[in-house]
Amino acid sequence: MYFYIYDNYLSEKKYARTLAAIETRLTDLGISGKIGRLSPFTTAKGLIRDEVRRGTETIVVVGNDETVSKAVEGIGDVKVTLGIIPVGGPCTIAESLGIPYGEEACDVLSKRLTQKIDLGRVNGRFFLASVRIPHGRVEIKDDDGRYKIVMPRGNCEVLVSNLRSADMPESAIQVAAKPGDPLDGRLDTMIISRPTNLLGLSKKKDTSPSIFPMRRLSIKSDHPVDMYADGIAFTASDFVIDVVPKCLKVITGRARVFA
Amino acid sequence: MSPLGHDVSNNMFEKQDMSNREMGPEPETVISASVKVEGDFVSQGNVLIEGEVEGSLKTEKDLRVGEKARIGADVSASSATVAGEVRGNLEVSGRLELEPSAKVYGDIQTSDLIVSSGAIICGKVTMDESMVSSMKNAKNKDAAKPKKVEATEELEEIIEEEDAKAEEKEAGKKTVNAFFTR
Repeated sequence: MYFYIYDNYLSEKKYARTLAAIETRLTDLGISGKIGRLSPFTTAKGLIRDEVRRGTETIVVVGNDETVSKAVEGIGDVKVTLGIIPVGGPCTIAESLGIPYGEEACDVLSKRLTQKIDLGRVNGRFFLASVRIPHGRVEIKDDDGRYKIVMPRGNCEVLVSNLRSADMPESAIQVAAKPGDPLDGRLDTMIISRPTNLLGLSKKKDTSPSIFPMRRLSIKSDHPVDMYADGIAFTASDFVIDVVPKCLKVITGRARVFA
Repeated sequence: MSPLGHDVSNNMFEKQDMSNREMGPEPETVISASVKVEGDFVSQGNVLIEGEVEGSLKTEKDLRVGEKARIGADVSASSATVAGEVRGNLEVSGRLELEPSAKVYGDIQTSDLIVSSGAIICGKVTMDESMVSSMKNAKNKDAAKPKKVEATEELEEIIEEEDAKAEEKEAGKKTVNAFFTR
């Protein structure tokens, strides 16, 4: 039994044709189902919890990365399968899962190639791809507080990655395993230094990022900093981030970035 | 491709580890040039350090210290290649290689040491006796039997000498007896 969550922005005219093609294809494949729409008064969490109580086993998100993020936050550790039909943009999460854009995603959905992947959690809130702190001087400590990572001077970015995406920085150093494997039970904390000159312009090419595979970490700052969890922003000065291994079953395509 | 991606990557890494010994195994943890780690750093995989570490550093696998890296910590690894500065003791169960730009201010304990020309060591170097003696014991097992034969031969010689001395004494006694009897 499938339940489709449409994001609010899909009500715009420019998406009408794409949505019509998708719905026709789903009907042809025999996997059409109930549709729920997000609005300022209807949250993904509420919709999902109601449908799960009714016995729905597959939640399909129709939208972009932000829509997926809302759905993942709503699903949490509930035992359902997540599918994605990317429409609009950005759709880096669907790309990483090997799901093509628009109507072609329906065929991937119908093949139902599933994989149980890890989920990250920041201050109790689940995320699928990554957590990013673009600016701010923070202190990172590992799980037991045995060691801390002192940030470099100047502009640097902290990226805690669970699922590799196209906009992740490439390391000049060949590493054993590319960061962002959602099957390894760890989160890859990357520190990307971007030195700048007096004018605030980048001084030279970005240096290779530091990579720390961790299961749990804490990030503290003297002042509140902005953090983006799968594109959704929130501000705090203390973050506790951990991994929940093999938490979510997702429908993936063959072109996914992990094995 | 295995459905269990983690297994595949581990197998791939193991294959590469065998073939890339000269280049060095690929690291799992990278501490880049501008980053500093303070405290007790423990890793289960290969570590590459280009920045700074203060405290202690332990890994179960390979450690590579870059030319500009500075470590103020006691280090423990299964194998290591050092091109930078280490202020602390180095304990490496396998091979330790010091490149020409390496500077080690502390004691070294290892079973296999390569020191390139130009490397600086200020400390005690101990070739791990447990590793070295175990190799010797393996050789000694083959040489054990002949040693026992040599020992018995020596004893036999000593016994023969004592017998000869005893016979001389007895001979001396006989002459004395002959003197007193008519």
